[in-house]
Amino acid sequence: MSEDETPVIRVKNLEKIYTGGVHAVKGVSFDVLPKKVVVIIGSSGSGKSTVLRCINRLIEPTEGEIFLEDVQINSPSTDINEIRSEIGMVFQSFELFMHLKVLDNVSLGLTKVRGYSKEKAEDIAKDVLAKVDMSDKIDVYPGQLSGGQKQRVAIARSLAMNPKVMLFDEPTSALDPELIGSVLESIKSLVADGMTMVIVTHEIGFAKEVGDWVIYMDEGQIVEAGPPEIIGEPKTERMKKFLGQILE
Amino acid sequence: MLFDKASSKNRYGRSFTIAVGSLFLASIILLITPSLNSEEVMDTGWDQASISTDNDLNDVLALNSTSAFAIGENGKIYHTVNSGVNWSEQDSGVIQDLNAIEFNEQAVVVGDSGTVLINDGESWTANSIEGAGNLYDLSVPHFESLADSIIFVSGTGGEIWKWSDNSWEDLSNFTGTTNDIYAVDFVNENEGFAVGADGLVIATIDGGLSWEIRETPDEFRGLSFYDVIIFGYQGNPVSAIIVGENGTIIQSSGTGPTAIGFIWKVPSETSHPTNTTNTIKSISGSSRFKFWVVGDDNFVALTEDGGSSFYNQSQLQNSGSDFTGVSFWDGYFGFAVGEEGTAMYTDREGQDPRVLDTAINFDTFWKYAKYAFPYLKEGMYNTLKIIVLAIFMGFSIGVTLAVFKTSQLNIRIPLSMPREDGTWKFVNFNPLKFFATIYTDIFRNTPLLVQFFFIYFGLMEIGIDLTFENLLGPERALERAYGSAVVALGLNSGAYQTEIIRSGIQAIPAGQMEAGRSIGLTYLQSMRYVVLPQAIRIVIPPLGNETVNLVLNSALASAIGFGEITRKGRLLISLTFETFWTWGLVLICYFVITYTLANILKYVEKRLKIPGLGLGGEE
Repeated sequence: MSEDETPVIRVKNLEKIYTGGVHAVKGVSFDVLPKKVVVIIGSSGSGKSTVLRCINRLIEPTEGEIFLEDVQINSPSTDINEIRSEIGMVFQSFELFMHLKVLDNVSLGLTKVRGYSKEKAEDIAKDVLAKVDMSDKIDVYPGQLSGGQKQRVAIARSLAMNPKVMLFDEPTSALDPELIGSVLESIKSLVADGMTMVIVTHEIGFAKEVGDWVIYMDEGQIVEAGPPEIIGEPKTERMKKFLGQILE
Repeated sequence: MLFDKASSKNRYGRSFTIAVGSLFLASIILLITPSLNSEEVMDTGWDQASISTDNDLNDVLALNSTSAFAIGENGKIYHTVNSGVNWSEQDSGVIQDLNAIEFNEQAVVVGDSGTVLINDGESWTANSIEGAGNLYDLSVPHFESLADSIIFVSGTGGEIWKWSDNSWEDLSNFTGTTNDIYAVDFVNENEGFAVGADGLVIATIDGGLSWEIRETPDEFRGLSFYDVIIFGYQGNPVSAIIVGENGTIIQSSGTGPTAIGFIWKVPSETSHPTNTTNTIKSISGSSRFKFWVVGDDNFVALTEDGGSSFYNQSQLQNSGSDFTGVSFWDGYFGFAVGEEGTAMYTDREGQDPRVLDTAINFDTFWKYAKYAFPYLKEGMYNTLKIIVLAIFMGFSIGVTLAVFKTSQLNIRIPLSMPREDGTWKFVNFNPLKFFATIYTDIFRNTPLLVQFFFIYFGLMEIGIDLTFENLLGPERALERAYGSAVVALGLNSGAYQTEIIRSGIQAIPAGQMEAGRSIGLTYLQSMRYVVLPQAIRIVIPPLGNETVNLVLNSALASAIGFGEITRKGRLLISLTFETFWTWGLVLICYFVITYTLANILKYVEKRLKIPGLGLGGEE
């Protein structure tokens, strides 16, 4: 990593202890540089989703510091709603607003958070929907879409806010295998556009392909981190075992 | 395939719309047909005694407790001897409109074009005035025989004529006015008052040879006065009461021959004792304290305290009729007449009797239904008046408190003592949730009837005003029972709706709130734009049940005296003793309301249905 670039996201010594006492994240630190893609892999319960959710404070960190550029996200004086509008988030289960048509799903944040006029918001929404190849579905409800289409709309919804970074929380885990491709295509096109991203995923091949930096987490800690090549040659037993299970 | 489904849904939707629409329309028609709102209306104080004629009746004269003359347009004179059950037309010998009738030994009638008729017990003989205009009123202070009598008549353009010494004398030049004089009244041969158009009030103390203006307060300039009555004591005037346009009633009292008419007692701005803006046309009574006034648009009222307060005696059956004349034989027996043959009679001072000596008998259901309809219509109107506001109030409370109950606000309160290792133990406290829980627990665990009593009787005692007079002003203040019923039902329903909407909010996956927050919406915005629209769609069926419950619960408002359907039913039974028909109709009324409401809600549910949201999305 070069010294002259300011990281978009900086996570320092992040700790998360849930109310029940579960110590989910134990001192995790990493940086996300501009226009880079950080991929977090790891088995279920390794704390990778918790880290991701701490970044936009959907989960409140117990200890540590998280910065979006030079603003500390987990400081009480920060307007978290403003921060969140700068950080896109794509969920495993899509979480589209079921009562709103596709176009309204995408333009809601623009009108209510950014305060844009309805026309301007819809223009932007149509643009981003075209980017994820969903222009023909702007007038249907999410309930009428397939999983892959839903996830592409969800990506468009985040993208519409023109975020500084996008977080993907296992974006393909809930999809049938034949639908995964289209979603990955959409994410790849974002990579091509130079979007800064943090992706939590099980798609090892995909991680290798798009990731600039791969982090392997287990039991709340970063076990290995490095360029995508580390997937090919894991140093630790734990990661070897994990990759073995995944590739079976 | 999608298209097929959509079109079949549309077809279903259309017939549904028609069904609901027609039910809704029926209720609207029911509601907008004219109806009296006041619960105080009593329909039993007067008996209908209408005359079968299209002619307007202009005045009535009670001859004794059961017989009367009624006079009207086109020279009509009717006579009854059996309390208005039958009226016989008498030959007046004229075709002019007759305007007023007065009695002193013999009945005297005046009418248009100088018409004056005198009844000698057998027939009517004309004693008309050559050259006089239309005569509006008369007064007969002295009558021995026609040759030995004094009659004053008043009419168009300031005319006043006096009959004495067997001839008519024109006093019009002495009145000093060209206004129409609508009423004249003499307490003896010399002292009398005349009133008329444009606030005219004049008085004489010398038998009409000179008249002087008695100034009335400025606010009555421009209003016409239609009747005047002078009450006397041992032949001396002690009190004058004048009625006229805009519900006006003013009076002047005093002792001594000339004392009255200079200071007028006017109702204060805020209290309008007659409680009407209708024109009052006629006044009659047994004393200066107890008298009746009648007027336009079915206005009939009695005062027993000299005009400070009135009992409204309007009868629903006469809705829309203008009354023109009233005449009481004494303080109990009297007649009132109005346009198009409207007439009624009372032998009980027009008030609702404590005990009905005869219940009204109905030989067929349809006759009964026709009688009961106005009561039930008014009851339905009143019920709808409660439930519309109560549903709105309950829903507002429900949404607010459901949001409170699901809120994540936590205040950490340290327990009193630190632990041994010096750390403090905290408990989380959510004041919003706490408040909402207390509220719903109280309202869901106490009887609604007791809540009604508490709100209606209890809150009044500690000075909480449920007429909302401060808010709405004295003119539009609510009946207190109405305000209380809305508040009680709204608060109670709010508690149940809170729980229903809370369950809806909790049924929405937490991810929806997270998704809302993740694009930068605040908690409340996410609630408003993301969670609530979905939650409320899910809970429309239970909300529908709750609103139906609310309608059924509104029957309890009868316990605090509000005139909704159930109370009207009880009133009908006390009038008719027809319990089976009455309660049967009351049941039907409720069914019509709740069934319509349920269908409207089903329709709303269909309209708001969104593919993929909630169960049963596919049909």
